[in-house]
Amino acid sequence: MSATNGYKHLEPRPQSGAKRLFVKGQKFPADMLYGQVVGEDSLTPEEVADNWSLPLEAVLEAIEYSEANLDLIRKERAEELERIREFERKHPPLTPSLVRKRKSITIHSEHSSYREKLLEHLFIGEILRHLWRLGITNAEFLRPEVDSGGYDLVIGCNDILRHIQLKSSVRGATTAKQSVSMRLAEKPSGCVVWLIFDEHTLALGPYLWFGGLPGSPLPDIKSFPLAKHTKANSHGVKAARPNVRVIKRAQFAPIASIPQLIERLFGVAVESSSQSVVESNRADRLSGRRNAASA
Amino acid sequence: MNLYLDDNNSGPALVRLLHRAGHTVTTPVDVNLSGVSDVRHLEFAIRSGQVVLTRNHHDFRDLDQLIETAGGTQWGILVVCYENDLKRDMTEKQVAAAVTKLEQSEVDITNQVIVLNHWR
Repeated sequence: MSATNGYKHLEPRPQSGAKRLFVKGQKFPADMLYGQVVGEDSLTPEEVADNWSLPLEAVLEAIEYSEANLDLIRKERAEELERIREFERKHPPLTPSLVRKRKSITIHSEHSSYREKLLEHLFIGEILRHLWRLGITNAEFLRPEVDSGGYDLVIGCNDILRHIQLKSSVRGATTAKQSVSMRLAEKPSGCVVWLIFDEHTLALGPYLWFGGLPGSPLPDIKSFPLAKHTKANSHGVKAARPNVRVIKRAQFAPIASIPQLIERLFGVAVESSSQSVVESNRADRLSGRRNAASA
Repeated sequence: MNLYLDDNNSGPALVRLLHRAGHTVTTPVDVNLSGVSDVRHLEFAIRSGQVVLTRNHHDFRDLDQLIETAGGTQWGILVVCYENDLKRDMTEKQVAAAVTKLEQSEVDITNQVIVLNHWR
């Protein structure tokens, strides 16, 4: 009687390390039943008794005991939770936010620099291929030794020297703006080419364009909003970047294909170029059929 | 999810809710293991390829560490913890919903002890 303070259906469980009483014949403490009658969507004592196949008297006893020993119960629950938190500090728990975070760490974010370079090579390759088809074989491609001029690539073609800042986004991304260095505006014919690409195949296109006519500098961006650093300083302030401006997506012109982009870059007539590509494709197909037939 | 419910978590109301949510549920009563030790419960769950659902974080966490040290495999241990505030204890409805949410996340829970309260 003394060990259970007169409770018929409750008993101590010293091996559990807890001082509060447990329900006889069950692996849970009395307060588990109490939690079911006082919490959200609470049950009646009768429903709790039915759920656990216990006499109603046992449930009522658990409720009475819990109400009389709330301080002890809260203290022991707090200790248990603290032990769990202590464990979780060393072993971060699997939570919905952690799962979301893990899923977002894709090959794209893990290898973003690699991907950036790969896209640049694909872009150069596409430009070269289409220039080749147009019969232009004297284009020059240069890269800056130091990344401070606000551009990634220089292409010389058709007597035009283009300093190009490349940006990239996966198709369907909601990127709303890009940051562009004021240094790009100092170049004779600076421009920004925003590559949209397929997440899986990295196939390029369409494109977004911000720039002037061939031979003309970048449109004036001095009045555009200042860009800010992505990380806050020690005072929690994201400092402004005076030499960088923000250009909204809506200020870029959509470009459907590489031939149209080449026209923007170097003034090669799009109609004639696209016509040449169509003709060239047709010639390729005919040649393929002929080769297949002869084989 | 293919679940094995520990003695402390196997009321018929929860079993009903889990069934209704499309989970496969085994209780100790179903397999004549009522009242056996945590080790026996976990052993059964491992042998039958089931995820354990319990309220006993302390003991099952230790068992998980033992399995990890021995280079073994358990198929996931889901724990419902008691809250500081008794009124905030997870209801059986919340437990069933949390299990479903966890399953829908498609995360691999092999050899993990997961506190379901984080998934409510």
